[in-house]
Amino acid sequence: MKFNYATLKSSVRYLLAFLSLRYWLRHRGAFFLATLGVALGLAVFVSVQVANHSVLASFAASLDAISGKANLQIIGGASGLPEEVYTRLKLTPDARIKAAAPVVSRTLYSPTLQTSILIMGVDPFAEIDFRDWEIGGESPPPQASTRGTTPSDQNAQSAFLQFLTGPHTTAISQAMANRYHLSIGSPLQLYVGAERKNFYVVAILPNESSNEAFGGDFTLLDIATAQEALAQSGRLSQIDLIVDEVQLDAVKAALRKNLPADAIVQRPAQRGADVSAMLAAFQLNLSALSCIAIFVGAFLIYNSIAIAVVRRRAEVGILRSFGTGQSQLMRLFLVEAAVIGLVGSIVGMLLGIALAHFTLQAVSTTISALYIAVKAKSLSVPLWLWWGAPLGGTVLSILSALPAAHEAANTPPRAAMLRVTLHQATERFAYPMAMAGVVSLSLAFVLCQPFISGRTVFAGFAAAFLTLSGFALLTPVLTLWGSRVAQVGAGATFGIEGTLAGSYLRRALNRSSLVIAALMVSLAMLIGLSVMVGSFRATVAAWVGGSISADLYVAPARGFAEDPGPGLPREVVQYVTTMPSARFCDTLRGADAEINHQPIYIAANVLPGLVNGERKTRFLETLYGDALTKRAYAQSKIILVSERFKNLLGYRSGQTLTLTTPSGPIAFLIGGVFYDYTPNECLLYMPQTLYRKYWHDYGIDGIAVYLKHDVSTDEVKRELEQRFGAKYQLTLLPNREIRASVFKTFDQTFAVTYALQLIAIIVAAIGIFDTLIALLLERSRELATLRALGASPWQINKMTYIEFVLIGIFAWTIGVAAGLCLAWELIYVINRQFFGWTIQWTLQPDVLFRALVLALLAAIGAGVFPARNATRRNIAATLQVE
Amino acid sequence: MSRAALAPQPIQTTVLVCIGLFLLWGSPQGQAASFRPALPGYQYHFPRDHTAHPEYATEWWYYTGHLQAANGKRFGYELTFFRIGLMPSLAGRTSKWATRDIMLGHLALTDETGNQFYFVDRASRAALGLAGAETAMPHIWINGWSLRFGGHNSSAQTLRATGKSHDIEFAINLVQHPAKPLVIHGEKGVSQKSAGVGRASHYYSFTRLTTQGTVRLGDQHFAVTGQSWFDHEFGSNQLGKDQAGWDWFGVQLDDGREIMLYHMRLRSGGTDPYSSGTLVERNGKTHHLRLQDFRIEPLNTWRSPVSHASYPAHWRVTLPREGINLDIMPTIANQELATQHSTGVTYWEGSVRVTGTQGSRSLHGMGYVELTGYAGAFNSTF
Repeated sequence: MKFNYATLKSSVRYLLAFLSLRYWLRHRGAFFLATLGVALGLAVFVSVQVANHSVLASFAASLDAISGKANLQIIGGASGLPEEVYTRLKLTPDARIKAAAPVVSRTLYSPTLQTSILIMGVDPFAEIDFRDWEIGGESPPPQASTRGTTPSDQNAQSAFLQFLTGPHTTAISQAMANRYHLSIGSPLQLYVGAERKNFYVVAILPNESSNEAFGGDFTLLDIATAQEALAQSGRLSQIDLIVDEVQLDAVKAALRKNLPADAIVQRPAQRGADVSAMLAAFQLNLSALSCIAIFVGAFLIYNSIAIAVVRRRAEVGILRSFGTGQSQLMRLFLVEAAVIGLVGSIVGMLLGIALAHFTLQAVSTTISALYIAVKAKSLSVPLWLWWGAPLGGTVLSILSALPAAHEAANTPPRAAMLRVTLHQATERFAYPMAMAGVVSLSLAFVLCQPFISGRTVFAGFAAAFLTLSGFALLTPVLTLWGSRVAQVGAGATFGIEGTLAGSYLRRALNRSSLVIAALMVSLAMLIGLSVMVGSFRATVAAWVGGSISADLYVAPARGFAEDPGPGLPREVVQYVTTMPSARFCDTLRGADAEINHQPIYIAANVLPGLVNGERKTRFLETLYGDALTKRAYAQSKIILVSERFKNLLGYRSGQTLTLTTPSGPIAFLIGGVFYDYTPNECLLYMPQTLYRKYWHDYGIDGIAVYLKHDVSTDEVKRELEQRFGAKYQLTLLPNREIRASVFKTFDQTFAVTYALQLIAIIVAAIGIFDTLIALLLERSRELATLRALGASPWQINKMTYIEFVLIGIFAWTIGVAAGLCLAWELIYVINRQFFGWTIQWTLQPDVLFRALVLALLAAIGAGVFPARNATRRNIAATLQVE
Repeated sequence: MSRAALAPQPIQTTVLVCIGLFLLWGSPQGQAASFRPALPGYQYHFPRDHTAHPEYATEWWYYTGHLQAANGKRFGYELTFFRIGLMPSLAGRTSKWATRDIMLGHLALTDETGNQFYFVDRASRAALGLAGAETAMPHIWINGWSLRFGGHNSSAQTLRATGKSHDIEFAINLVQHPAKPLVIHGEKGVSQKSAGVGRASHYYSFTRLTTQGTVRLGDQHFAVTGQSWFDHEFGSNQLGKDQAGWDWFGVQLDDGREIMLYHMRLRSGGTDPYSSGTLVERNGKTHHLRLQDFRIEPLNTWRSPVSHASYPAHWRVTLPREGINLDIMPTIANQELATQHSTGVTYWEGSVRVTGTQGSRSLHGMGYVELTGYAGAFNSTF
């Protein structure tokens, strides 16, 4: 037969493919773990991306549904628009404005449905050019007419007229009807401030857009009904317009002239862009956190391929001695990695989408609490993710496998038969890697400097990534040094088994440093986040102790969480502020505003506790010194802003802040910056007299009551409940409850972080398990030799566990260092940038202790199976390999 | 007669139709009883009765007419204001948007020379000054459209309305002066529409008004003169459930006489015996016409390309006792209105040309015909 190179080449390829397949079929468990690692790492990332995208998509869909065909909107300020703006538009027609429609809208909480609902009050006669509601488009279900006296008995054709004329009638979305089992005639209760408002459903909206609005939790009211229900007669939330597209800018300018100063004229799409910009930082934060899981996942892939190389070392040697080329071998391992990556990322993609159902809920809850009310009910997968995730997973897989594949391909045939060389290789590389680690850490340090981190949000994350990478790169050299010490120490304590354990750690440096690095990264994350959260909690606790000083807080049903609208009923305010059991009271009126697309919250209060010292507000800086600044505030000369306000918007004390008020733009002097940790918008304190003067708004949203010392808070609470409970829905929070509620909000805010952290640890645990198998496998010959020399299985086990404990301790030691660095970056760089908070550094030792326990448990727990496996191995067969 | 553009049909799924139905079939929530029915013995007082009558559920002010520009261009026009009472009183509401009345308006312009038909409709709540019908003086308006009685003895009537149809802006701006005294239709102050107490309306007309003003069509402005017909009608709950629609005719003969006729069509296919009419002499004297006093025979049909409804399109009308034979032809075929912005009902109302004989005398004239109940409402929204 004639020599045919092509035939040979293809037969080699066939042989290699056969060998690969045989190996992975035999080690299905290893394949499963490797793909699971990729899948989990990617799943977290995918779920966060999907959740982020879904929130924005549902907000955009909701916006589209609500804006209809409008191409321009006049949006009222905190107190809305006077309705005369609308009548003036209608009665003095401008040919460029084709249609106009008034809108009154707000999100209200429904105690019966246990959720917030977007209510939109419209004038159906103006709606026709904008939105296609089809009120009464749905006939009532047949049973409705047999139910006696309910309003649903009315003829189907009168649904619209009931909607129009009834003071308590609503039309709800089909989605809402399905979700909460509502039908025509069903009652619907909503809280408006402290009042319970009862409505009943007269129509179910058949159109799709009402299912999109606020995730379908959407109720349409006649504008008169809405104004009355919201105690907002005479005011509109916005006016939608259809304007000649060519003349839009001219119309915009013309409209502005005749509007209240705090009204905004903009395209509806602008709102979507603003919200998207507002959420960008938050969403980036989540993406970065989710990348950590991928980072840990990459370790797994490296690991799996490395194990595959180790396990097939003999095979590799044989292949090499038969003349298989280096590049062919390298390709073999890379193709394997690619397959693992591809399968893993496809599984990860699907897993991620399934996971996204939960992440979406958490993300939209957090966004609603921190930024803007959104309801995302359906998942929307960004298009790029379908190809990006599998591609990314595969490429990452190949890159992670590169070192091991390179190693395998470049080992001389003879050396491939020996298992020790790879360790020596790593030992040789330990110092250059350590150098790279030092460089990486230095870079992280530079990125944390304010002149860089102040400019881009990426700096903080890059620093965190570099820190973790830096410590990972330092791990081999630290393990090398550490194992020398450990060898002596463990030998002195545990005898020969200890000495051997320590020496193995060093000799199996490639494996051991890898498993230590993987565990270290997880622990560092755990420590970093725990220290950050712990410090934050401690800071908040200190702040709560100082600033939540009143004995009893009185607020409308939903507290300060929802838009309070009319606020507390006048008679409640009147009674509470003058009741004899109160020493003094502070009253609050809140208003939302925006500065540079950053939401701010104006708290118009009196702060009597500030001057008399009962409220211990801490200042970051003041204009006249603490005491004089407090007095200036009491005299309504200055406003105060929170630290978050200062950091995010760049205002300092001494500067003036111009706010657009219903009385026009007014400049206010910032007298001081106070510490504040309300997970909310940037906070601004304004003396109530100033607020009333410029906003003409005399409502009160909350009262802080300082009771006489001999009065029981619970008694006062009971008395107020008896007096007003039947009539109004009030929230009466004694001091301890409001403190608890602050922490509850706080934990909700960090729910996503906790979840991501948990997943990263699970991924790491899988990695450790995987690596420990490899660690023992590599050493099977040595272990067999020891057994042959007379070592008992108990001795082997003891030695193995000592080694695992050492791994745990090493990982923990390096993890503590990395974790504290990470915590420092989180507290002083990332948090400050995202939230504008100064967190006082607090280190609770139990965080480190818990991490140690976890590290040991992980190392020992993950090691149980491989250790058992090692002692059960057939000694003769293992030794025969050589 | 009842000139509202209403197509009675089975229960519709759209609200606009509901409004349309309530125009004649009673107001919502069973409150029709609280509105005052139109009963015999009503005493008219003018100019008071030109104003709104909120105690009745439905009311309309209805102009149709024929105009001619200096260059010979001929137009027909229709401008209607409807008031629909949703409830007799509005108690305990604080929002100014809360309303007891809805105002609807239809404007149509027939370019007889250019063979084009333009129409537009609007609706608004009678609140915040956006729309309304005053009770103190005759002033009715919806957004920018208005009807105002003024001048000496409230005799001059000013009409103003504008709209956009087929992307062409059009407007009318007209002043009307009665050429003949007003005419009260029916008997004992009521125009009975079907069997039953209160199934009637109070109905009067200016059957001949001299009209002056301007018509704008796109960029062109026309100074116009012509003759118009004005109906004002108010009542509560006037139609019976068995009625399917009606054919209304308003004819102005060149000899100075006018004829108003209507057929109330029954669902069963026949004509309601309460169908009637009025013959107005040159001197203003009126003759009430009962169903047996006149005959209306459709001679041809026209099928709408939009609604696919088939309408009668050419008639022979005879008043046997007077020996009057009339042949009535639409000036243009397509004068169908699909009122998506207001009543949501589709009907045909158009200018017609009239020829005929009375004995050996030949008769000529112009008129308007309204045909309802031939088309289902289509594409009615909100």
